[in-house]
Amino acid sequence: MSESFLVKSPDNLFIPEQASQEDRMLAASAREFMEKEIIPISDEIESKKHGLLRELIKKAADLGFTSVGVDESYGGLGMGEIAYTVLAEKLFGGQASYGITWNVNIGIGRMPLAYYGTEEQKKRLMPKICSGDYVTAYALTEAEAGSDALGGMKTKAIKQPDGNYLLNGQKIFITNGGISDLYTVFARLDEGFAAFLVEKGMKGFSTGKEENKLGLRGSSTTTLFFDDVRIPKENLLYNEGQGHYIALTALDVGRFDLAAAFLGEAKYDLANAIKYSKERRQFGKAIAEFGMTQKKLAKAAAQIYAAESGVYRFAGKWERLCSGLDRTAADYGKKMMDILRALSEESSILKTAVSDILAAVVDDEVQIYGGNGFMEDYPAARSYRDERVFRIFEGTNEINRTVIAKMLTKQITKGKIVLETAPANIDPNSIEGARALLNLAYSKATEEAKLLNENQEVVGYLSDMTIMFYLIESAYLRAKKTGDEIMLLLAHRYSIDSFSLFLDSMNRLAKAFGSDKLENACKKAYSDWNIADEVKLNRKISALLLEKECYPLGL
Amino acid sequence: MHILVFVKQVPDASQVRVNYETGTLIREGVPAILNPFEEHAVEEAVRLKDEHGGKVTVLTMGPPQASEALKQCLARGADKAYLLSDRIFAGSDTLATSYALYEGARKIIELEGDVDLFFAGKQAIDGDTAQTGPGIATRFDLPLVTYLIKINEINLEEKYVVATRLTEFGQETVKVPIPVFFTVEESLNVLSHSPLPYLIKAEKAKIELLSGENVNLDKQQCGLKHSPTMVKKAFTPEKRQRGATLSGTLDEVADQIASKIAPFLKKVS
Repeated sequence: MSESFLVKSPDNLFIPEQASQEDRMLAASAREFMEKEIIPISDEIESKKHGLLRELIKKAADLGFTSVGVDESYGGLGMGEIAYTVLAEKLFGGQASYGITWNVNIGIGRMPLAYYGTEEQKKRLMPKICSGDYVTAYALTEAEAGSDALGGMKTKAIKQPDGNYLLNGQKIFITNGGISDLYTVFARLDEGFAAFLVEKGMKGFSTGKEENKLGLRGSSTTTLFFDDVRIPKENLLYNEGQGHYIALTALDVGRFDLAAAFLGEAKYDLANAIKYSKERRQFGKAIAEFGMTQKKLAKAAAQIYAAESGVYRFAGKWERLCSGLDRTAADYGKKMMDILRALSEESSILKTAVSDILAAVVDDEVQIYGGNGFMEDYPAARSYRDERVFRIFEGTNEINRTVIAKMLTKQITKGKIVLETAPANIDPNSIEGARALLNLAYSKATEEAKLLNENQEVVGYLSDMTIMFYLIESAYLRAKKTGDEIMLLLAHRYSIDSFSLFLDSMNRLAKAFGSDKLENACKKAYSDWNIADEVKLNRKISALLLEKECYPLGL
Repeated sequence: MHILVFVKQVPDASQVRVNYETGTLIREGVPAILNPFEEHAVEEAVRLKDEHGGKVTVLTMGPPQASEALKQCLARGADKAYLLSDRIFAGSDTLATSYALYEGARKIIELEGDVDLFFAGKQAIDGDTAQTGPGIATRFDLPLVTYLIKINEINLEEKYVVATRLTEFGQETVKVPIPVFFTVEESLNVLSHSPLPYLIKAEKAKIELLSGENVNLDKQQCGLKHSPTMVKKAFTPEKRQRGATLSGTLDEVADQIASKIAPFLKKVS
């Protein structure tokens, strides 16, 4: 049976409040590390001081962070997917250049080996990653192969008579390109694709100059060159012809753990904005006392709350699906791939949603900082520059929007998801009502497959409805599960903007489909919707934020 | 080398308010933390263990939830943690507390072997009395070095420690025989970041329980009934007046001071 959120709310929604003592301790420890060891040396990191990033990865490894999620037999500490998510969130906010280095190192850089490596490969390489002696990278993108990563791929591996491979080609925009020891490199074979473990120092393998970027200036991004690189057959990852599975699974994980990372960054930026709004005085009072400032703070907190509810909902589901998996078993990769493919649309929802949320949060942060927000001496400017690429990499938000709606319509067409028939009277003030509206939209979309294929914007509207629904549902279910009053306020505040966007997207969709039924359902929903009083919510939420000087929930 | 560290779980002082009617602290809703001075004491003990070998044991007295503070000590690298907990200790003042901890420590010596170095914070941030550590040291009849800021040398063969302590006027370096009792300042060391394996071990560790059942206690020295301390009044001390600034040549200033203190000198004679 499908567990899709299109059909019903999850029975066992995981919320951050359920995190184990161990995960809480991990969160506190990771945050302390970030605040004491990383954020204070931001200027040095941003100046790309030679060797510093590796030194800081080693520092994190010495404290055990690189060992989380790795089986004990490969030098790891064990721990599950929730712990992994906690680390992704906590080791990012405040220093995104370091954050992205870290995120790739234990995320897409390591995952191909962790999931698909043979026992021999894992025994050989994993302890070095855990100890921080090896840094990892993931190399898929090429000049002609961006969003169309497989279709445009030119890097080629040719099998030699002795069973080894000869690799030729170039990869661009590779995070950790200049500082890694182990690269998972994707290449075309005569038939299909394969992934290879390429190690620093292999003859014919070199890296280009550091790119000059808009943001994430401290992180390493380079081109990789492969000129007749001889790859021993022991370094083929998984099977010939199945490299694309590895690429996609890694992206499923990567998109999700970036969502967790963006959540961490958004919390950091909100805290800065709150503190600054209390310090900055105009017209004889702190700008925090002005309604439009409070609106920005309350909106950001509500978005962060929704993002957090979604991220941990995913983490809990992922961990539950992984329970009992043996990380040392030969079929671990295959099983993990099945799990992650089933979570694929949720992973894309979260990557898109949380990067968009972070964009809104940093934009308002710069606005709250006023003229100082435009100055590099204050933290808002760097956050603003760093954020921009989050909507571009790991699948542009456009590609991810395509993934969301297309994967769901495909599952509906194949009968894997069976939509509910809409009730005669849809109550837009309930989760079930919102779901019924979404079902109506998907039902129409599957009938109009041709129109959907030919008009990508329409796919976008459907995805926006889906994204908004997923987070609204996550936000309300969490508030309901805890009975917490603040959470309910935040869920209401979030739904003001997001359900508006949901209905707006539905309206555009109805027009594109020329569907009176959809349009009428949408109009009725708008008139039946008891929208909360935003001003009152802004007052209550911002009062709490100003008292706590940070986002008040979560780990 | 066996090091025993006495610790206390305290309310986070930065979040505590005072009830001026009863003269007590309002502790409700205030998060409990490990007394910061004792965090440094444990850090030092673990550092010395890493350098000289041996083990670090920690002891606290308090309600069951005080085991959280003990876990923090284990996360910092302590090897074993004991919680002395019993209703009979409720309401203990520093006299009764130091007695109970003394008996608890004697039990630990019986179980874990002789102790070479005893550590405690210079004071707890809730009561600020600085009496419990010295109280325990006195009962053991140990040399006491308060306000420790540096361990200069440990000689296990000749059984002495050279240590520097803070005094009201400066610093003092002393050579003391082992076993010895230290109460420590925060400036003693810089706290290190606990590695995850320690944190995980601490989270899973078993806290050893001591109570009136397994510790040999004279109940006539325990709890509120046998705590002679009385709080008569709690108040915020008045701010000291800012001193006057004198100006002029050295001789002129000296004259001004002399004339100001002259009336007091007469009174004394």
